[in-house]
Amino acid sequence: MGRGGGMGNPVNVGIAVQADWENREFISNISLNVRRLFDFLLRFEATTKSKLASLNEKLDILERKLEVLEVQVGSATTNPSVFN
Amino acid sequence: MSGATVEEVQIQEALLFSETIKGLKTLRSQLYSAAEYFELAYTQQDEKQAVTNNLKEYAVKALVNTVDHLGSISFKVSSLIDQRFSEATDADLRISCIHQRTQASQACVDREGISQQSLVITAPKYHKRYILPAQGQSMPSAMPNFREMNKVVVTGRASQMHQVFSAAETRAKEKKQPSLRKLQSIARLPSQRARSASPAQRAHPMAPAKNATPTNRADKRSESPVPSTAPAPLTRSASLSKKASLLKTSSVRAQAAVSQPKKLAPMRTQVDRSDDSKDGERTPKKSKKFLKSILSRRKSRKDEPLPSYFDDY
Repeated sequence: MGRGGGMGNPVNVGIAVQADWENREFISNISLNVRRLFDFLLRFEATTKSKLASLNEKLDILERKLEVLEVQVGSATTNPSVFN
Repeated sequence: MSGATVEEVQIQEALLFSETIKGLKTLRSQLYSAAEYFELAYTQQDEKQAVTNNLKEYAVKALVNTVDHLGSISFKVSSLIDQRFSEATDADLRISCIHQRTQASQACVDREGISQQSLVITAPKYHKRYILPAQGQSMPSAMPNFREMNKVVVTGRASQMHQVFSAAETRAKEKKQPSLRKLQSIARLPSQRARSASPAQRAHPMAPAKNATPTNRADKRSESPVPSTAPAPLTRSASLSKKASLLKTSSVRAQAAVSQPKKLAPMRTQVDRSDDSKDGERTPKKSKKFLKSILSRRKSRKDEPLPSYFDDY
């Protein structure tokens, strides 16, 4: 990854080391952003799972309520003498 | 139209969401292919610096594109979940509304049932003598008000009936109508009047309560619901009290005495029985006269012999 030129020259060696550090900095930045992206994905997964769980619980409650209402309406329709 | 446009927008959003998810799925393969390409180019080509610069640019663009994809997908997913939450909340509201309606209808039905059940009253059965018929009114008007009777639950049954019957009696007194028994006794024959004028009742004209005491045997049998210590007696006892008041006058006193032994035979006193024995001594003379008249009538009609039983007289 070093730049072209004579390696024996100390000036060229210094330029090569600087370029190497620049490349390392770029890679570290890329890896840091990827890790941030990974953290975001993990947090997004967690929040999405919790939201889905709460939504599922809510739907379960609604389903139970609907079953209760269905039973009540069914009992009322099967026994119309109650409303007479 | 608005519903259709909303559906179209939702379909477009769903298509975009699926396309972005497909782009994320293909991003992995694209990154792997790009890595292989840059590796080959770096090893094969001489201008390694240019290859490195291209690789850097590609990595930055790939990272930005990935973040963009993930951001859009996460936003859409979160919005979708929020939409489902709002729909669930709406459904919960509707269900709670329906539940409230069912509760209200159930409460209405319960109230109606309670009202229906409260109207079902077991009318108490009383003897005919306790019913005071009012003139010009039907019998139910003369009957006591059972609704008033059912209002009082804590107090005893006897006091309740006493109140109702006293109210009925005051009503009858206000109208000042003679009772049926009184009218019947007035319409009696004079012979019965004469027979009923017993000396026992004449002996105690100012104390009708003493005269009424022997007749209490019938009261004990009929089990009057009103206690004897009640200030205002029942209609049956009202007839007794009226009789006592009527005894003050001589004519009506005799009528009451006539009507009493006919209806309340066991209530007759021993004094009345002694009077009856005296009347029985008088009756042969009357019967002789009566038979003589019959004989003379029959002799005039036919000359047939009379039956043997007339010889007894």
